[in-house]
Amino acid sequence: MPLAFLAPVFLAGLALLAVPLIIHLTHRQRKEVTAFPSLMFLRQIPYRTVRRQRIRHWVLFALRCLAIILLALAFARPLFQRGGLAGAASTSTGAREIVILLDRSYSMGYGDRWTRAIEAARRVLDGMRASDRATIVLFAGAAEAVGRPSSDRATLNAMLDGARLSSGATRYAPAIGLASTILAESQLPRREAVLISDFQRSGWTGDTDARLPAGATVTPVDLSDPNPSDVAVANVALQRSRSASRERVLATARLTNIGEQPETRTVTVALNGRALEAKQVSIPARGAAAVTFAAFALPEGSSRVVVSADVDALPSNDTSFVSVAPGEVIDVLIVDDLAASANASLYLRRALELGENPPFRVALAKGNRLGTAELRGRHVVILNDVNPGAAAVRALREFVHRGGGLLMTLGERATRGAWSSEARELLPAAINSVADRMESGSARLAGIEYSHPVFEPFRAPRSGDWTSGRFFRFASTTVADSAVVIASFDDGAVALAERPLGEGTVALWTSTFDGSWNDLPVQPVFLPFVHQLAKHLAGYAPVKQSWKVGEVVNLSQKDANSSGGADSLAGASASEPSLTAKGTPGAPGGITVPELVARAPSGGTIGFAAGARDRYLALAERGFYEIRRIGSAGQPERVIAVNLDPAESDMTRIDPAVLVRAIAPRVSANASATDTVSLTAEARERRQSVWWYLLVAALLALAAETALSNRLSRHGAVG
Amino acid sequence: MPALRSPTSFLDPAVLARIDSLELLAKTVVQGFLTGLHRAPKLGMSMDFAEHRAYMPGDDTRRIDWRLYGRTDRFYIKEFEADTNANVYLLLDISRSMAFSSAGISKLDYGRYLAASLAYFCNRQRDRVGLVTFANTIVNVVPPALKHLDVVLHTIDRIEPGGQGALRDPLRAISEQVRRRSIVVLISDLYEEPVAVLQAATMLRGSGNDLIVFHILDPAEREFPFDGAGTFEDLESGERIPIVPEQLRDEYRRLVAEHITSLSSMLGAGAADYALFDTSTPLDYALFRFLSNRLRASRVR
Repeated sequence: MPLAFLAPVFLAGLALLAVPLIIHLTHRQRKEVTAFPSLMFLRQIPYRTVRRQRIRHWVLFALRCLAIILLALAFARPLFQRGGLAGAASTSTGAREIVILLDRSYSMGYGDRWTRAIEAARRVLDGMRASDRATIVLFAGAAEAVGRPSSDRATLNAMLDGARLSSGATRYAPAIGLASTILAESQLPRREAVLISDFQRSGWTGDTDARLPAGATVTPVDLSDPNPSDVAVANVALQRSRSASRERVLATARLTNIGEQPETRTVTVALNGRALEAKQVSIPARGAAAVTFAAFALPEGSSRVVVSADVDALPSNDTSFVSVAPGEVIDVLIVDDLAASANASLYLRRALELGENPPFRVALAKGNRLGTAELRGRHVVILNDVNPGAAAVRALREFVHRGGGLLMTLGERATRGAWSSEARELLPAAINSVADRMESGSARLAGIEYSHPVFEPFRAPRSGDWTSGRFFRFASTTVADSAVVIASFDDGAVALAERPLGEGTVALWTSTFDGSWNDLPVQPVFLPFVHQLAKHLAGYAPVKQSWKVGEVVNLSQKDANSSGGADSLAGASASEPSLTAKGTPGAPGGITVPELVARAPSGGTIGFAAGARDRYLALAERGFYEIRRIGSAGQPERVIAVNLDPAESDMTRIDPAVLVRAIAPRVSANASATDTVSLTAEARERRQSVWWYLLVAALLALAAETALSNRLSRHGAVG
Repeated sequence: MPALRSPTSFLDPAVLARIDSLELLAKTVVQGFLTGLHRAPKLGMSMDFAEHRAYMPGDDTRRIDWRLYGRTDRFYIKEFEADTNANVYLLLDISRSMAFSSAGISKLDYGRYLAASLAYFCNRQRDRVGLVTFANTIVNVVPPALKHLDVVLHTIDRIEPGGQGALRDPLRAISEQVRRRSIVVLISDLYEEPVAVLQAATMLRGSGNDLIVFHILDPAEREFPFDGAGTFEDLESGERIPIVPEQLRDEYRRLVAEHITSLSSMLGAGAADYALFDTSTPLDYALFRFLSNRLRASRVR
């Protein structure tokens, strides 16, 4: 088991042995001066040279020499070469099955890592013998074998020529799994995996059970840089506001710096390819900084916002993409009774008009005669203390069936007369009577289903006091079997109930929103409550402005939204749909799903058959994906912005030895891990960590030296 | 049962150093030293009445007690306690080398205690005590007088070390000032060639004075216990020389021993009474030495 050194240059430190030698041969001059009454006698004694000196304090001298020797050896990073194994491996004549795992995550684009990775892979191919066979596996988020195992170096080199960096983030588990499969299926006597990567910690979660098969060895090729420096545009947030009829967008970009030095970058925001503004931003070392650009007006149709910083060693994460489109407005129709005053829906209307995310477009209607025309394009209809007529009920039923939301509030007018049977069927609860709590004390909301989307924002403590609202009158109801009670009063009576109907929802609020039967409209919770209720009934879901590479989009959800009417892909001017879960009623149904084609940022296209129920688009590239209907011209119907996984920008390194240990084949009781894992000298040295023991021994020697030296000093005898 | 403290331990310089008052210190030393001693019954001229005796022819008629004659009609002579009325000069070397101390008290402090004790002792003996402090020149002079004890003690108390040591000039000046036969006590570390010391001593002896030389040394000056190469600085001249003590120790000790031997032989040959003390020596040794010399001097007279 011969000894080798990773950094033999440090053995030159052994020359420092001359220092204690000199110290012990000569007498160290004390720094302090000894005062003496008279040098009269000392001057008479002839001076003696040091040539006659001999080494004093042999133990101290030995300790000092030992400490220097141990330190020099520790810095030289010694390792024991397992001569038997290495020799056996090198002299073995068996054919090898080699799997080259080549990391092509976008972090490999840092500096010349990719070039070095290809060179490392070529070196492995150059070391192949005629009987050996190799497979090239490119991996990032997923692993992909380039071709079948081959012994032809030219073919394998050609595969390497065609290898390109991807936009994915590093994930080791799929690559190890694929390599394990290839090696397990091989009949060759020797099986080896070569892992060429920058060894990012983010790529290894440790919770996977991916391991190489028994008998396989893995050799890591570490391409990481000791102190990487990179600035990345981590994300871009858009804040929308509406002024007059146009929407304005305020873009804020967040930049991160993983380097040890602060950096200054020029950051540019561009809208649809046109640069809008450039700003200088300083990012502290190992920190982040945000830059906010001036608000810009949002044009019609889908817009592409690109925020980019100056190009550095890793250019791919210097740009961030966001798609944004106007039109995220919830259309609400408030229907008042004919006899109601002009302010009957004042609180309701004002509350909805204050909505910004998303905004509400509020329309008012009088009377109880509603038709299909009035409901067209609406997302939510609120019958504000109205007893609808039969025709209105039929129109509302169809509206809800198609995905619309209907809210009915009960007050003096709604509870005065009897409801038609059709109307009663529409209600989630049957109206019995009016409970008057004017005399016996007001009722309060007691049972609230906080897991329901309407009340979910109020779930956290100090997120709204529902006990402050006092209810003096409300309708006593009996809930239908298909209905769900969302909120109830302190006496158990229903306050809010809903039932699904077709693709839509019908909700019943058993009191008023005008302040006559309760004081809820003047309570702080009223506004968010109304907003949540309207969004829930409209089936609103926030639009995702950007996606990450590796995610999958179901384009069918988009199309289901368009199958209804006003807000369909075609009808909504290709806007990003705010109503992704449900369509909008009122439009003629029965339209067949058209065939779609997705164009990737690199120019490639992916087609989707017309009859497919689910159409999943895997986002593999960063940039903008355009979704078009076959045969349509002009603007794409949908633009999907795709960004890199920001986790990949974190270049924190995992020790290759740790990763190798984790993926190495499980060792049996009579075999050691080293028998199956062939490590580089560096990895082997890290694993043995002989330097650590040497360093501890050196420290112990120094401690002993200090103690002994102090003891001798106290006796004034140390040199 | 606790060990009994030796009576002489009270005269240990290190113990005495804890006493702030120099007068108290001197009293402690001297009274402790005098315990058990008897006064010499030698009668002489003093103010202390001793006894009457019958007049004998040849007696000084001035010493006849006329009042006793009036009562008894006989002549009686008044006898008084002997009083030598000797002058005692305490010469204290206060050069910077005297400030050296390896452990315990410095040579100067030792000399200070010794001088104070001698002054108190002499005062008790009704000798006139004077003090001269010197380095290479005379620094302070307190003329001898019976009532000068407080001044002497006060002067000793205020001594500060300074200047280079040299015996010839100050001792010559003192020998010129001393007009009456006196007992001269020289307290010094005598860092001079023995010949020079002898010359200075001879000057004092030439005036008929009794000279007692107390040679004060620190134990480290004799043993030279230092280890490790280093720079040694002369306290008086500031001169520095690098030294490896281990190499020089034996030679140094030999030279010091030769120096002491030379001083002892040269001074002991008649010029002076020489005594060597190191600062760990109890003070009563020095007092014994002084007393024996004092008795010897009185016998000589």
